[in-house]
Amino acid sequence: MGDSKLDLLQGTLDLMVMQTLDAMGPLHGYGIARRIEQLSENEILLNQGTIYAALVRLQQRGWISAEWGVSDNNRRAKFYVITKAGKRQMMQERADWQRLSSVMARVLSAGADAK
Amino acid sequence: MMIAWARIRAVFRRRQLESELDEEMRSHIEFATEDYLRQGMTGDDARRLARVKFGSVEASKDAHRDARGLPLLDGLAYDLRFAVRSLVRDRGFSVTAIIMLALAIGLNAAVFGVVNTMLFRGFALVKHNSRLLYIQERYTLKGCCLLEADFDVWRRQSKSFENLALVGSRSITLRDGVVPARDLIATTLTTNSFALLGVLPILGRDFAPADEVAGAPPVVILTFHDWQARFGHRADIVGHVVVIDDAPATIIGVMPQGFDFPMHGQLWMPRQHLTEAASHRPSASFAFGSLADGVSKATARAELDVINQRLEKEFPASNKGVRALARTFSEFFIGPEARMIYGSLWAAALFVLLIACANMANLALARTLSRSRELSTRIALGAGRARMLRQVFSESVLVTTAAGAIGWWIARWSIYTWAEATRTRYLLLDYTTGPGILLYLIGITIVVALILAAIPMAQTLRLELNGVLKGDSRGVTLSGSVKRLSALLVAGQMALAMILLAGTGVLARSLWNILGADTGLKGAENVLLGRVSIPRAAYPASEERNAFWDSLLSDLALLPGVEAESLATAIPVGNPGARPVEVEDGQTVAERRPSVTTIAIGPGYLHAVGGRQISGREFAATDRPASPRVALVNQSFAAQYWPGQQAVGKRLRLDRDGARAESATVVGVISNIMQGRPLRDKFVPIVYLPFRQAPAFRAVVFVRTVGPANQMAGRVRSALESAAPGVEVEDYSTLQAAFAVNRDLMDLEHAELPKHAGVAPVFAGIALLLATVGLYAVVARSVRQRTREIGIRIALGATTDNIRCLVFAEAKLPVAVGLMAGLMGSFAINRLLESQLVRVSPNDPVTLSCAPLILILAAILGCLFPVRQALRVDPFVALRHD
Repeated sequence: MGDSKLDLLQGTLDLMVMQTLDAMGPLHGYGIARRIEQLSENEILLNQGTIYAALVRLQQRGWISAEWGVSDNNRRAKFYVITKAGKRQMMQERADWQRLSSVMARVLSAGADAK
Repeated sequence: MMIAWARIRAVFRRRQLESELDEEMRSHIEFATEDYLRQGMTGDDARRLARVKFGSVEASKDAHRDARGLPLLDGLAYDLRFAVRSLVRDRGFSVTAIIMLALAIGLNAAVFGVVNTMLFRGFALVKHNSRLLYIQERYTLKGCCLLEADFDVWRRQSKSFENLALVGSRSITLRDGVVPARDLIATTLTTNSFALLGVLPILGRDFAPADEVAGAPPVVILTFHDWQARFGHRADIVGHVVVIDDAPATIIGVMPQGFDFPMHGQLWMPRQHLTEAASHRPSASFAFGSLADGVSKATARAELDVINQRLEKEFPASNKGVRALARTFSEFFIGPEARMIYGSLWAAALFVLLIACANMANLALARTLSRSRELSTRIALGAGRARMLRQVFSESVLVTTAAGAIGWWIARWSIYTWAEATRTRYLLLDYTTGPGILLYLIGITIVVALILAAIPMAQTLRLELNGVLKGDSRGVTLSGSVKRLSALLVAGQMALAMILLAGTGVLARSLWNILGADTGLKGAENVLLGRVSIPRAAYPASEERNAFWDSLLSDLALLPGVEAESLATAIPVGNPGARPVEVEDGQTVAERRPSVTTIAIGPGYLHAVGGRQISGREFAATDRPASPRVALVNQSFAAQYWPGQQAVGKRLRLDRDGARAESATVVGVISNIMQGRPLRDKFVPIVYLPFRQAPAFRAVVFVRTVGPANQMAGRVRSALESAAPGVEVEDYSTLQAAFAVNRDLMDLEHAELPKHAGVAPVFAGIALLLATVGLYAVVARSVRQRTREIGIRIALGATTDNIRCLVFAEAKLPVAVGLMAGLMGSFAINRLLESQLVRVSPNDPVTLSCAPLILILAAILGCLFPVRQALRVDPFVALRHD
């Protein structure tokens, strides 16, 4: 099973994180990672630790912001929220991504026809 | 922009961000664990799965740090802290490496500084020294000097030089209201000289062309030193009038501090034009000129040749065979071979640096070997290889930076020492350690750092992870050729050290022979001396002068603690004048009269300086101008001219001021006293004349004290100075100190010896150190690689001695080869030194047997640490792990 997992493409993790935060509201790092895993139905090979590099990257660009808070089970954690600039960026990237994937789909299906 | 700012801020908030990250990751894992517990897993499984899902904590942290801050800078700080810790842990390695590199780098920068000054920079403050050519003329008969008439022609006709100047000298007597009269050498210059050198007075004005015109009022420019020492730093010095050779001269300027061209300790006056006839005779001056833009040295030389050929036709009488010789600074002032000599010194220093690098490479290899497990473990735990490389890199950077800093200090100290040791009273060069040397040092330090980093980095890349972790210590292996190469390298270093040791040995023995040479004097440390002169005008008649010197000596005799006192026209060991002598009823023919050293001495001279009477008598108070002429000779003279005969009663005739004086009777023979060329092992023949029969205005006064001389120094000096009005005392010191000062002036053939004997041990010491470290590195590396083998041997019952032999065997071959090569090299190289050696054979058996001994001792020292390491191998540990 492990062998067939997908490697994450450069930049896709950032988009996933923003999308998750947009859909779910404030979340801590584990919550984000968990959510991405669930949505991908364990198709993605994600070392949960790597999410923190993405989080700091997004934060520095001003697309998400963070604040220390307390979780449902009374545990101190850092909660992340998407900002307005982040939403704009997400829309942009989502559109780009959709265009790219439709192009990819066309190219790949044309290749399959030729066989 | 904002991102850059955020990243920079992150670097400064490191500590806080790190702890936040730690907390975040901890809570992450706890969230996950709780989730899995809720899904019904047991505690351990939940925790394990949470960690697996999270992946490598270290790698995540690294990724986070890279994204957060300035990865390079941030990483650098981290790497450096790690490197410091790891170097402190491996103290032996770090100290050895730093000392070795510091020496090599420091030596290099020092040699660069010296060579730069000697070959290019030259005089202090002079600008564009490399564009200056110094010109004299070569004659078919004799090489020196210059025809000043030729200089004037060059100046008018030459197109290659932007400007030409003439430098000569004359001796003058300087008088001033306050300062006592001084005999000085004045440098005479064409008035464009200072502008040409690019150095202008800091006070007053430069010479103007009008100052050079015949009949112009005499003017003088002072050195900064003179202004301070003789004229008390007076602000109103410009315009002050002094008396030079009985004529008033105005001080018009003061040159900047440190400027001393072309000689030390003088003052400058405008050129005095010679008469037409004199300007066609050689004078002891030289010209210098700055090349015009775009003109090469060769062009300038060719042009001067053409002009001189024309002059030869025009003035065949004076200019036959006269050629201009235009030389660079180093060729002119240091010597025609300066470039070769100092160039090879530089090459030698670079070679030493190269060896140091090679040794470092070996040391670093040994270290990587012993750390291969640490490195592999960290890689396996998820630290990236790039990170590892960076860490290895920062360690070498740290070591070389420390070495560079210490090297800078070493370089400055060595250049200072060199400048002090080689300064003569004639040539003062600019040895200030400027930014050029610093840049050079930084440059070589960077190169060294890169070379040193490359080797362990390459090794780290080749680490065989699995092999190392499974317990095979040979994760890093060396091919046979590398091993042979490093053994060869060590052999080469041994040979070099041996050659340098042998050279040092014979030079040091030569110097020892000179220093310890029999001077014919006793108790020189208890003899005070001073050069005393009296004003000519006050003592015109010889009887008046005799009365003065007699009363001075009797005053001195009355001082408590004075054992003996006398005077002479020259100090022992100094180089007095020689005169042709004709020995009557001896073996010399009247026509071929040899030149013989003569000194006039007062009564009691022998006791004062510590010589002995061999036969006859000393000079007495009765030997005065009117009494019959008498003389003393030394043993050497007696043996050479009257071998086997009684010298007392013989007669000889000396020339005086070009005319033959009446003959004198030899009244005694005295012991040989070193005079003239004291570095030789034989004494020159000397004739001593009675001071009283021709009393001079100047004499060296000797006072032998009962106790230590320095306790009497003050009283004797004031007695000399207060003897009469107008009396001057110069060069006041002890006889022993006068030796040291005079040594470099006495025997020109060996003048370079102290310099060589001083530099050679430094090179030999460094070479020895390098060879020892080199051997240590190779043997240590080999022991580390053979840990398992040694463990097995110990387990099988090898004794301590067996193990020791095993380690020493590693060293045997390179040392033996090095010794043989070094010995053969010494035979060849020492022969080149022969001209500098004094009473030592170039193949001196003592030296050639001591040098290998020292080398073997050093080799044993180099093996001691690896032996200890080998003996400490615990067979159980070695076998279980490796």
